[in-house]
Amino acid sequence: MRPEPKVAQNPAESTAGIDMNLIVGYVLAVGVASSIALLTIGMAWNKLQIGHLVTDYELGHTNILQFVIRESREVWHGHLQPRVLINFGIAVLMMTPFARVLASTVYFAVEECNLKYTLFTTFVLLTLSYSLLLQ
Amino acid sequence: MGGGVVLIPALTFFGLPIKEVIAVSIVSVVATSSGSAAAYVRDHITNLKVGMFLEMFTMVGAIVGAKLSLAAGQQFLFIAFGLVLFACWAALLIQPDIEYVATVKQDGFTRWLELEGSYYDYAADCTIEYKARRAHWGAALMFWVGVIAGLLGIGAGALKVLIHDLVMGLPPKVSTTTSNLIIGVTALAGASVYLAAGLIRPALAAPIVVGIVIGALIGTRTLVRLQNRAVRRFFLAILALLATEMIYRGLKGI
Repeated sequence: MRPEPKVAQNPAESTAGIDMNLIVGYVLAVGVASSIALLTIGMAWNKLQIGHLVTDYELGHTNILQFVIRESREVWHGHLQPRVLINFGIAVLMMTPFARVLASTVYFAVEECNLKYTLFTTFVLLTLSYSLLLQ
Repeated sequence: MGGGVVLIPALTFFGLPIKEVIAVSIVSVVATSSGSAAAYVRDHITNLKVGMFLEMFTMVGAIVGAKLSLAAGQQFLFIAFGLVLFACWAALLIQPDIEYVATVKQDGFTRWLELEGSYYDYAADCTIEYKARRAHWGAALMFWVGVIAGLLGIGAGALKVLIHDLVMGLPPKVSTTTSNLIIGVTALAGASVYLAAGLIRPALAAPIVVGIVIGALIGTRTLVRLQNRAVRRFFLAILALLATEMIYRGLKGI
């Protein structure tokens, strides 16, 4: 039997009880699992509807933020089609590392009160936001 | 190793344009790296501070690399891909011979960055404490690895691990798992450039992402039953073959 992990105290773990490793791990796991589920359901639905896994179409020149908003709006208004699920799956996947960085920034700012790493993660967050707005 | 190094030569072999393939590959890299990082982070082996510090540089590099890729010619991309595959091949070849040398005296900058940690090693049944070193060199080199990742749509994990091991003195398990964490953000930065350029086709991306994640899950379970040396030899042979093929196609004019 595998022994109980004698969890070492990494610098990014809080002494106050919130474990940053677990937060980051769950954000990534939930993001990837949701995305794969959406993509799989979308492709299966497409296959049943028209006989192909995916219909070929282009997303056009867009940035991730516009893409996420557009697909979320479609889902919100209940315009569910295989294509919307597939696009939403791609959007969820691309937002997963962004959510991880956002969670890290909040953690370092609020829980650890570590100015240095709050600045570092804010820089990553701002640069990622810039890349998400590229067009 | 992610799927990009095999995916790109395979799809271009079937006639798909290399830039579209690079764009899809970088989306799949987001999936595989985030999926595996999720497991490693929860095992408390990944060093989050090393990851957060280094991803500042890889991410900027990836944006620069992706923009270069959009401007580059197909022939250049084929040859560059082949050369990077050879670099990954060399990294994989020398990796087992790299002995972990623990940092005795940490330099001031790395100490200021708080780049140290500890993890529980099940094989050795003890807690391993470590300190990183030469963070300034690690950061500078990671920028260029980010450029390569963004330019070619790969995770470039083999190169990242080499820098963690040789330059920053991280223990092998920490360097592999931390590299996985960095790859996700780096790939996202690159992917956003390709999305803006209209190069991401869902018809290609969706089945590849699902297939590569399922493949990675099966691969992880199968690999534990195989001998390390046999797997390494197999990947070395595949990398050398793909590198030669890509350079040959680049020189021939595709």
